[in-house]
Amino acid sequence: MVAVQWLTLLAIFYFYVLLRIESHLLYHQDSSLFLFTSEFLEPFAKRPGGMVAYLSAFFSATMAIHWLGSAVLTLLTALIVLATHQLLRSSVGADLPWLAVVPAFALLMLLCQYVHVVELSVGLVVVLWLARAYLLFKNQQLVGRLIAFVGLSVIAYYLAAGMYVVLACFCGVYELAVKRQFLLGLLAVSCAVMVPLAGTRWFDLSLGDACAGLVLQSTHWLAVPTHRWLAFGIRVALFLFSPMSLAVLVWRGRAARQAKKRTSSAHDNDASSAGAGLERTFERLRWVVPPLAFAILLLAIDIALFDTATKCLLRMVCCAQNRRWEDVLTWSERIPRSDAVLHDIRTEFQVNRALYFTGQLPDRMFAYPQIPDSQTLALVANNVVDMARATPRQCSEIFFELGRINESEHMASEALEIYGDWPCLLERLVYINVLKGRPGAARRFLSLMECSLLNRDWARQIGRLLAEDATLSNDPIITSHRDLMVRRDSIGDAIDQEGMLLQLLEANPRNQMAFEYLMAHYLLTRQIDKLAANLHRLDDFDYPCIPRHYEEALLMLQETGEAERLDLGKWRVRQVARERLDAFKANLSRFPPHRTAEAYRTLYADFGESYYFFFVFGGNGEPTGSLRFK
Amino acid sequence: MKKAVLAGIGITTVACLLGAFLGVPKSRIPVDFLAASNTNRVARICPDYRGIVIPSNIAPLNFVVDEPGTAYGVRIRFQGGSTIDITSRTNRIVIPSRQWRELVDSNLGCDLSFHIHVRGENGEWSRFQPIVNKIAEVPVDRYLFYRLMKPIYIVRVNLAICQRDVETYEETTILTNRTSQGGCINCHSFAPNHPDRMIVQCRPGSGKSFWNGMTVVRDNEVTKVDTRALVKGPVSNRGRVPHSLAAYSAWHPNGRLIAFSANDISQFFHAVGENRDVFDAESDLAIYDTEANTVTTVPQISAVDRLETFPAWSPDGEFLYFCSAEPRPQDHFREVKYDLARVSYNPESAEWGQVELVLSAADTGMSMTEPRVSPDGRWLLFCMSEYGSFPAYQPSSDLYLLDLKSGEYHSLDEVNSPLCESWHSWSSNSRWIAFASKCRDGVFARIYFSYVDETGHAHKPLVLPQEDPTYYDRLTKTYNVPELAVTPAPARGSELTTVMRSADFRGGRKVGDASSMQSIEVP
Repeated sequence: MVAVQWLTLLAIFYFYVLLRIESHLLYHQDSSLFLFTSEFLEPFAKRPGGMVAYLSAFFSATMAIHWLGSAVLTLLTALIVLATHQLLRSSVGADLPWLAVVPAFALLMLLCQYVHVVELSVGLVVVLWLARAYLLFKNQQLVGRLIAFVGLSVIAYYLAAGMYVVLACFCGVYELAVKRQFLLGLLAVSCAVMVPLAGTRWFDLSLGDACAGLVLQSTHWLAVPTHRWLAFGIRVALFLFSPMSLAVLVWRGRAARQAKKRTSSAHDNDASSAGAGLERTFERLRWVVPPLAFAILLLAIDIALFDTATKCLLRMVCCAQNRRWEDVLTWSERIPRSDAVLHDIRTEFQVNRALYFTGQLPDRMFAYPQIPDSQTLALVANNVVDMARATPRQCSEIFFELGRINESEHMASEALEIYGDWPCLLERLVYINVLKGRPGAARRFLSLMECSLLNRDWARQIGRLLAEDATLSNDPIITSHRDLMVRRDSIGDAIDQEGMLLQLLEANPRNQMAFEYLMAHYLLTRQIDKLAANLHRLDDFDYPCIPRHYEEALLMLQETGEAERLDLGKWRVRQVARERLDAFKANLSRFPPHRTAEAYRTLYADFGESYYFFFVFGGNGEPTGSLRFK
Repeated sequence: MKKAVLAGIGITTVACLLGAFLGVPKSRIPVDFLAASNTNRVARICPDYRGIVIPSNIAPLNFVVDEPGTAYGVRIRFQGGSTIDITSRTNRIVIPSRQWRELVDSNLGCDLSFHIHVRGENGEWSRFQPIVNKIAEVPVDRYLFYRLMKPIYIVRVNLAICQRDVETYEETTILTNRTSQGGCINCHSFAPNHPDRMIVQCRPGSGKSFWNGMTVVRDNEVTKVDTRALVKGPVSNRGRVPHSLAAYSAWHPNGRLIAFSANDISQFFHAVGENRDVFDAESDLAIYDTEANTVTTVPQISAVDRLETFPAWSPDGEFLYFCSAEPRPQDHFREVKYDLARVSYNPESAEWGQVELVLSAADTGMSMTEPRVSPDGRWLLFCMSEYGSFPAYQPSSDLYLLDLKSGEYHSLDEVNSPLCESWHSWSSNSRWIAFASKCRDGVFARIYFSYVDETGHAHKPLVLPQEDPTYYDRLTKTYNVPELAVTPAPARGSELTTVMRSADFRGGRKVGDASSMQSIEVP
C-alpha cells in the first residue's frame, strides 16, 4: 500500500478511538500514577515483564488526555501492524499489507469491549520487533541463529514476560517451516512453555506473574469485558497471529504466488496505463478501496461488538468524578434497558448519588430502577471484607461525602492496595489526613503526586497552602467536611448503614446528605414507620414542602393505620399525593392477588416512578424492554 | 549502505546525548568556609540528624538542608581533624561513601559535626551553628529485617519482608506475598546465636488453606509445620493451641525450641481517631520443638482464665517472659490490659516453674506488650499503651525499659513521641535498639535506631538512612517488625516459597478449622 493509504487507515483508526471509544474512558479503568522517580522504576526493573508494564504505565497515564491517548493507541497499533508486515515480508517475502492489518482489527475488537489494551499493545510491539530482529540473523549458520534466539529470548522474557511466547512461537515456526531446522524449531517452540516455567523458579514468581501479559489481570470491574471468552480468544489470536500466518503462508506457498502475481500485475498496470482514459480514472481512485474496506469492516465490528453499556458506565464514572451529576443521570438513561449492568448495585449507587447532588433524591428516586436493598445507597454490605474487596473506591467516595472520614480512609486504603496509586484516591487521602489533623501524612501523598506529570500542579498548590496553614481552614472541601465529621467514637459502623447515618445526624443535624440517605434507606427497606419518625428532621433543612416520596410513604403508612399517631407539625401532605394514591389503589384493585405480574406490567407505565408501586411490588424494574419511565 | 548510514546516525545521536548528560564537566561551587557570615542558629535538616549518637557502621547520613538558598556547602568535621567537604547546587547533601566509612572507622567514640553553609539570593554565604553528633564505639547489627507495605487493613496485595544492610543502602527482598497470592506473611523471627535459623508465618490470600503454616529454616533445611497438628498429649491439647496457627514467636537460645502464641484475633475499626484496632478473644502459649517436631503446652502458659501472648526468652533460656491479661468481651476492649509476667523453664527437663508477675497492669494503669530482653540479660524493653494487645495501632504506645536487676522501669523519653512507638528489637551487643515509630506523620512508621548506654539511657534516635534523603518524604509505605541480625537471612525467595506453597507439612496438617483461617494483618 502507498503511504497515503496507510495514513488514511491510521486516521480512521485514530478518529474511531477518539470519537467512538473515547480513549479517556480507559483512564477510568486504570489511572495509576506514573512517577518519574528511580524508586518507581526499580520494582518494574526487577521482574520479568516489568519494563513493558513500566512503559504501559506511562502510556496509560496519557489516556487522561483525550487526543493524546487516542494518538498513543494509534501509534502502538501502527507499530504492531508494521512489525507484522515486516515479519511476513522478511521471513517469506510475502508483501501482504492486508494480512498485516488483521491485528489492528483484533485490537479494535478488544477496544470495542473496553478492554484496556495498552499493556497488550506495548508487549506485542516489543516481542514482534524482537522477532523482526531475529530475522536479521536469518542468513547466519544454525549456531548463529541459536545464539541469536537465546539472546533475544532473554531480552524478550525480561521485557515482556508471558508475551515472550509470541517470539518463541514465531522463531519456532520460522525454523520448522522455512529453514527446515527441526531441532532449533522444536527448541524454540518448547521455550514458549519452558521459559515462563523457569521464570517461576528463577525470579520466584507465581505462575500468573511468570506469564504476565498473557491473560487479562485487571481488577477493576469496568475493565473486565462482558464477553470474557471472546476477549480471551481475541488475545490468543493476537499472540498466535504472526506465527500462524507464517505457517499458513509457507504451507500454501503463498509467498511465491504473491511474487508471481505482483510481477504480472505490474505488467497489467503497464498495459492498462496505455489503455483507455476511463480505466485510468479508475486506477486513480483505487487508493480509496483499502481505506473504504477498512471502514466497512470497522463498522461491522462496531455493530457486532461495541459494548454500549460499559461505555455508559465509564461515562457515568467519569462524570461523577468531575461532579457533573446531570450527565451521570443522562448516561444512566442511555444504558440499554436489557443490559444486566443497569441493575448492578454500583450503577444504582452512582444514580442515587447523582440524584442527591442534583437535589432529586427525595422526589425522583423511584423514577430510576431501585431494588429493595439499601446497599445501592452507600454500598454498605453485611461484611466489611466484601466491601473492601468489591467496592472500596466507591465506598470511600460516598463515606467521604457523607462525613464518615475514618470509614472513607479505610476504604481508600483498601482501594490503594488493590488498584495502586490512583490520583483520585491520593487526593482523598490528602484531605482525609488534613481533616484528621495529620498534615505530615497528607504531605507524603502530595510529595508522591508531585513526581507525576499530570497531578503535580494540584499537589504543589495544596502543598503550598498546607505549608501556610496545616488545617487548610480556607479550603471549601475541608471546611464543609469538617462540619460533617462524627465526634463520638464507636466501632464496626461501616456495616451498619442506618446506625452510621444516625450518628452523622447526631453529630450534625444539618447534614442533608445523611438525612436524605437515611430516609432513602427507610424507603428502600420499606421501614416507613421509621421514616415517619424521622420526619421532624425536615425542620432542619429548607424544603418547601414534604418531598414527594416521603409523602407517598406517609400515605402508605396511613393505609396501614399507623399514621394516626403521627404529628407532622407544620408539614402537610399535599392533595395531589392523595389523589395519586387513590388512583393507584383503584387500578390495583382491578387485579386479584394471584395476578400480581399482570398488575405490575399494567400499573408500571403510570405508577412505576411512585413509591406506592415500589412499596407494593417490592421493586420498580422495567417489566419489558419497550416500557420507559416518563 | 543505507543501513550503515542509519546505524551511524543512531550511534552519533546516542553518543551526543550521553555526552550532553555525562561528558560535560560540572563546575564546582567555590565555598570559602571561613569567610561565610555566622547565623546564630542550627540549620534545619531532614532527616533530623542533630544531637544523635550514630552506629559506627552506619551508611552515610545523607540529608536535605531545609533552608532556602541557591547553593549549599557542608563540611563534616571529625574530632581527629579530618573533614569531608560537600557542595551542591540543590539542598540534597550526599556524602561520599568511601570517605565516610574511612573517617567514621577511624573516629570511633568521637564527635563529628556538620558545618552547614548556604548561599543566599544575594550570593553571600551564611554559616549555621555546627550540628554535633557522636559516633558510638560499637556497631549496630549489620542486617535489619522488616516488613514493608502500605498501611493495610483487610486486603493485602503487595507486602514484603526485606533485608537491609545498614552499612550500605542495599535492600534485598526476602519474601513477598505476591507468591502467596496476596496472603499474609509475618512474624519473621531469628534465633539468637544461630544464624541458620529463622521462621516466617504464612496465611494464604484465598482458597489455598494448605499454604497456612509456620515455615521453619533450620540447619539449611526449610520445612513447614502446622503447629495445630503437632500437639502432643492430652495436657497440651488445651486452649487455642490445637485450634489456631502460630502467631507471635520467639526462638529459645538453644536454637531448638520455639515459643509461640496461638491467638483468636479479630480486627475492628473505629469511627474516630486511629482507624484500626485488634482484639484478642483468646490466646495461649505453647512450645514447638523443632527436633522432636512436637507442640506442647502447660497450664502456666495457657491458663483457661488468662490471655497469654508475646513470648520472649531470657538470653540464658531460663525464663519465658510473656504478656497476660484477663479476658473481656469485645465491647469492653478498652478494659483489656496486659500484665508482664514470666515463668521459669528448664530446657533439659522441660520443667516449668510458677508464673511470676513482673509488672502489673493494675499498678501501671496501662497495657504492657511486646517484651524483648536485651542479649546481656540486663534490660527488658516493652511497649505500654492505653489498652489491648496491639500497640502498633495505638498512638499512646511508648517504649519502656525495665531493669531486670532492680525491677525498676522508665520511659525512654528521648525515643518516645506523642505518636506510636512499637515493634522493637535489640542489637546483639545490647547497645542498640531498632524500633518502628510513626512520629513523623502518625500514619507511616519508619525504623529508628537508638543507642542505649550502660545505665539504660536511650539517646535521641536516628532514622534508618537512605541514599536519597528525600526517600521517606514520598514513601507511602510503612515499616514494621524490625529485627536486627548479625548475618543475612539463611533462606529467601524461592527457597521459602517453594515450601510455603507445597502441601507437604512436616508431621501432617490439621484441616477444617475455619476459625484458624482468620488472617488479619498481625505480624
